[in-house]
Amino acid sequence: MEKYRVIEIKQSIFADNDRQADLLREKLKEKGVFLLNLMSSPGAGKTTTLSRTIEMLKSEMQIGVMEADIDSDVDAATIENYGARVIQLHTGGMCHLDAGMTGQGIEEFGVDGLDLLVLENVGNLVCPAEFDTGAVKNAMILSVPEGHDKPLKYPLMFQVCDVVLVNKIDVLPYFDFDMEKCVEYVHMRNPEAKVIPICAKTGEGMDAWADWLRGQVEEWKK
Amino acid sequence: MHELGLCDAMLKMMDQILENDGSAACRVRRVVLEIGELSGVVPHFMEESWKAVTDRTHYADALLEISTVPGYADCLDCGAHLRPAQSGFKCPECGGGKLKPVSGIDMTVRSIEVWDEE
Repeated sequence: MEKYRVIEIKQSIFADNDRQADLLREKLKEKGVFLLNLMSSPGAGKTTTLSRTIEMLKSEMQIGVMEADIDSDVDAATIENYGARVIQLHTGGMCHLDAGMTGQGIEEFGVDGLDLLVLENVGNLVCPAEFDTGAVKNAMILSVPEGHDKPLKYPLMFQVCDVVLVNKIDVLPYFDFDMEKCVEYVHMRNPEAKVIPICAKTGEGMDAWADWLRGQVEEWKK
Repeated sequence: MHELGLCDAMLKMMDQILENDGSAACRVRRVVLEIGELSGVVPHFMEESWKAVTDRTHYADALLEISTVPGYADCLDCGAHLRPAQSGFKCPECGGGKLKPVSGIDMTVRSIEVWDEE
């Protein structure tokens, strides 16, 4: 008769990734590089917001961008025009980046001398929230057309984010988007999260966002 | 279908464990997995993804046994300890909605059983 053996492990499937993420953060702290993980659903305005942010901050800090996509390099080409160093990461079909992939990207990119490194995660409100990338802070963009109820539908995403940018506020008059409710729902998921309404296209609210980011980079470099 | 990515992470972890155990060449008999009630993982989708990910691997004939672990949270308004899945994701004491999950948020592999082929 065939025999079998039981290997008791009791290990979280996130344990490995969490360990790698912590190591990556330590390494970035030594180098003085602030890594921001930027998430959103497809089309919420990650690339436009990022372009505008680079324009506002590039005179005061060195900025690098890692563009993660399943395929293509259209975002990388756009960002490069705004004066940041860019690398395109292809996830090869995966719906998110984990700490291992982020670490590989950083290795390949070479981040010495950078002050701010932005990881533009795959457009998706579910998977990217589950894996710690090794970023110092998580940011997400929720755009007005998506609706104010998203924090209720994608709880984990809002739970892990330090800052939520509510983008495309220029179209508020045309949508049934309730900003007050949105803030309330975000805080149900994460009472600590900062909510900043912005319009990357017109620049409205972008100063508050740039201030937050500047403060975070300075804090990390101390 | 975020379960597919999770299944992939789970397989990578188990490969490492089997290698460390010197059992990398063994066929796997059974995997016992615990899914937290507040993890956002759907056991049924996990089973479906498992089939896809393990196809033609040494896990192919293994039985994936899933159990759900109850999830608890603290109410940040009144401090009550509650089980959100049973109270409509609101605090049953004060009706508040600011809940901080404290358990049942993880996905844990309890054990792996491997065939000893001698």
